[in-house]
Amino acid sequence: MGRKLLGYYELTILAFMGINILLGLSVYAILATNQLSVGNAGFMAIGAYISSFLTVQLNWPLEGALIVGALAAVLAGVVIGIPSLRLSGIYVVLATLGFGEMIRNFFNVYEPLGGPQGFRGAIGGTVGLIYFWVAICVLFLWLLGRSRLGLSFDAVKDDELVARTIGLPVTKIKVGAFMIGSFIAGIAGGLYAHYVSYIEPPNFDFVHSTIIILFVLLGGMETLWGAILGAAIFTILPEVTRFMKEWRLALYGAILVAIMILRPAGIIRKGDLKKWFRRKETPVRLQGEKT
Amino acid sequence: MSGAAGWGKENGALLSLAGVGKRFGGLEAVKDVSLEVAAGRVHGLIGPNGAGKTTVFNLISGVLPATEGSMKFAGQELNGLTPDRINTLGIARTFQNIRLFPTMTVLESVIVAQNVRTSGWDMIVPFHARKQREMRGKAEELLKVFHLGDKRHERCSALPYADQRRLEIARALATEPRLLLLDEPTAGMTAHELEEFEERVFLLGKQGLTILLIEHNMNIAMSCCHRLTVLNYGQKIAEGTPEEIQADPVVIEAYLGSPEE
Repeated sequence: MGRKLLGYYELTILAFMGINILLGLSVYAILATNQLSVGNAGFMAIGAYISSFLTVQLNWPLEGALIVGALAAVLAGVVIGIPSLRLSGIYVVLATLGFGEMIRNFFNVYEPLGGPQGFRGAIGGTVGLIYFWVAICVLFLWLLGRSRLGLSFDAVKDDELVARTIGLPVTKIKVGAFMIGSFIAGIAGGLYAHYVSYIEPPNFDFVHSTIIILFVLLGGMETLWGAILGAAIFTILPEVTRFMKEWRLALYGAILVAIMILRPAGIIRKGDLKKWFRRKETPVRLQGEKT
Repeated sequence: MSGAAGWGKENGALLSLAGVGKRFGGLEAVKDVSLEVAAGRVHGLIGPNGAGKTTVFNLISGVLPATEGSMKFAGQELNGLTPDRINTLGIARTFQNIRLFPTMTVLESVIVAQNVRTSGWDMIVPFHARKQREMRGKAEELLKVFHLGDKRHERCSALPYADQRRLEIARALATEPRLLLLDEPTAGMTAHELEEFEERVFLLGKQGLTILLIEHNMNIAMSCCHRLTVLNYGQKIAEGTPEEIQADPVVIEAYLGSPEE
């Protein structure tokens, strides 16, 4: 019997990479309308707990539980998204931060879902299922980026006031972005819970939210590929630098500073992929057919 | 004819402001301004710096709420509506300090402004779809008219100044407005560009577009506008045809200062 191509260790890293990619995309979707959410671990927690409850306590099928868990996260996304619309910049950050902590503390004190003991027993998450959802979310966001709605996101990101004066329903667009982002984070949470089978409130704390944002800042916040690359790097880096022990953290800091100096918009910027893959000088998008 | 006589609603005022005021704390930026913009005309809004012209634009376009008075567009009250709602009613504007979408391409920024009452489905269908191609074709035509056809795939922020001014107007027109608010569109233009601008305003007027124009260049104001309203210190001090305004001693004193301007 030859040894398996991927051992348990590699599979776990692969699974976490997929979940991190989803989380990176969830931040990216909200950031695409110039709103920085520091509460995505909260959305993730909602997806994780609700879906686990449904499969463990009510014996729901996993797919249905994942979707309902994600929809619960969307509901929370709307609830937090609407008041954040009145805020801007740093205040959105603070509001989402407070929200994320609120959710974590809720699960910490809510005994029916385990409270501080955590919640166990959710099973059935596989690497295949995780990447199935990665594929769906990437496809969705990719199509979105090539649609009129995607352009509306860009317009809101570039200049919200002007976006309003050309007739774009900016409020709906921003809430919509929150809904997309919280759905993806909710799915990621459900997959995480069903892969590791044991969740507890500290899994979803503020530090986790911050790390998710780093995926996007490092990889590039202008395109979804940046979020994917950032999530992949941040998953693999801790593993390959394991020999450095605590010095790893210093290395991450150095890498982050270097990236911010050399490429402030992240590793991948809008239009970079086209350039790197050497199709002729084409526009950022809309290059579909020859004129 | 003097004052607002002869420009009543029955005669086709598209936009009418009545007793409009805007107060910022203790400062009255705009005080009791009333004016009517007749459909299909080019109406100029002139006055010294700080007279409140741009504030009036911000009130009409919904960027700021008016604190007093009423603004009616084709019979519909504007005060209290959001800027996007006001735009869908048929009012588009440009900005004194050009505001483009820096990371978008020229073509993208026109497409995103297009006034389409599409279904939600059309919003999320990618650009290859037929409906989207139609819209794209329309946007490209508009850009050609503004001599931006060759630059449609460039980033807005990379355009030279004159092209940025053109693009701002093209983007506003893409929303298919009935009333276009132009805030100092000729600032910094060369003589040749001024000529082109005059021509453009003339053509747009011929197509039935109503224009409200803030203008510092008196030659342009006089040659383009059917009617002028003069503001000073937030108040209307005169209104009339360009000839009347030129001859008005109040205007000459308050605005022009010295006759040789």
